[in-house]
Amino acid sequence: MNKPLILTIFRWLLWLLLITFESVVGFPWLSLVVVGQWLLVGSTYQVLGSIVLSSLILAATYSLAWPLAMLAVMILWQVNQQTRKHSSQRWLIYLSVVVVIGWLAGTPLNGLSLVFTFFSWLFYARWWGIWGRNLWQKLGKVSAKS
Amino acid sequence: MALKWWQQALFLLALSVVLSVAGLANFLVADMERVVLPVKHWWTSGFSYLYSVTQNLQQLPKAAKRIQDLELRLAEASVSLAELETTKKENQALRALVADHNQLSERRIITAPVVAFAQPAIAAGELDGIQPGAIVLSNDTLLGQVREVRAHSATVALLFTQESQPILVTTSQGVQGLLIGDGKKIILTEVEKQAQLNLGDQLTTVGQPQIEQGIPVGRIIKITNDPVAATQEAIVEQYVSFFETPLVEVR
Repeated sequence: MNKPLILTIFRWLLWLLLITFESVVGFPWLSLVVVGQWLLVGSTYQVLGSIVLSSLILAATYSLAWPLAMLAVMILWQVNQQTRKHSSQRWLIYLSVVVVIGWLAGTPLNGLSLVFTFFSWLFYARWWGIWGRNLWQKLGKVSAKS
Repeated sequence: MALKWWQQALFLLALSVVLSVAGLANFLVADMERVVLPVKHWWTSGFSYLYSVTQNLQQLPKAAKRIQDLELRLAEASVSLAELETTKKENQALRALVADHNQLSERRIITAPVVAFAQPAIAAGELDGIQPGAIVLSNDTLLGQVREVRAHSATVALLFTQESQPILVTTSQGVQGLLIGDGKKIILTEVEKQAQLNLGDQLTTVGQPQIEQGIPVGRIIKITNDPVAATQEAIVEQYVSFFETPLVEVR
């Protein structure tokens, strides 16, 4: 078994764990970012297959209609394709998609979901290397460059 | 000719819509749910366990406080129990004391009957605590009542004397009558005509001022049921004689 295939399977399993975890605690913040970074890569057929599979998993996890889940994954795919990494456009579209999915799935805004939203955002910030008040400055610079 | 991204996206979306409308997508999603739901369940169980552990940890200080509170209450209960035990013992002692006191409060004076004088008397008087109306007994049998009290002696109105006060008595069958003396005998009077009197019936006091209930008086030795009279009469004999007993009790 070649290394890329093992890596792909590992990513899929990890993503499955991540999205099910997030469906339990609230919104799919990290899993939808990860799906664009990890799964929607490779050749056209690989991407199309990933879109089908990830949308099915998303639909099954959040009890969404499959076309809606597929549309969401496609938006993320195109956002990944069209925008720069760590740009405000990508960030805002991710945010919008996640909020819409949470709204459609009827995710409650209870203490648990808010706590994990907070931690997810902290993870974003750490991942992007952005902290605190530098966030908007850096986003602004990235936006200006992009 | 390669499709553009939007064409690919449109194709996939159209495919998913068609499959959904046809109902085939439900099978695909249901199959995927078979994979996803156990994982979600695993997460949920993990969170539930974590939550319960957290709750238990949160309750630890409360549990410690609760145990302290219970220990304090136990100590208080033990003290209360000890106090209760002490009170119980005191209560028992007081009861015994009260019983003794009752016995003591019944002023029992033992004295000798004085029969040398014309008037029956006892050799105890006011200085000994004898009071007018006190009953005179011998062997727990009512003999009479103190009539006049002097310093060291007191006259006694024996039941057969005319000076004796009428005493309400009853037989063992519940027939009641008045006991009076005619100077020679003790007579049971005022007994209803229909009442059943029997020879040998024992008489006891019913209870009246200065005379306790249930004191034996004597027994019926003769019944006089005059058809003309409105009531019955009977002659009563006492078990002991004032003139023969060496000591009498005055209450």
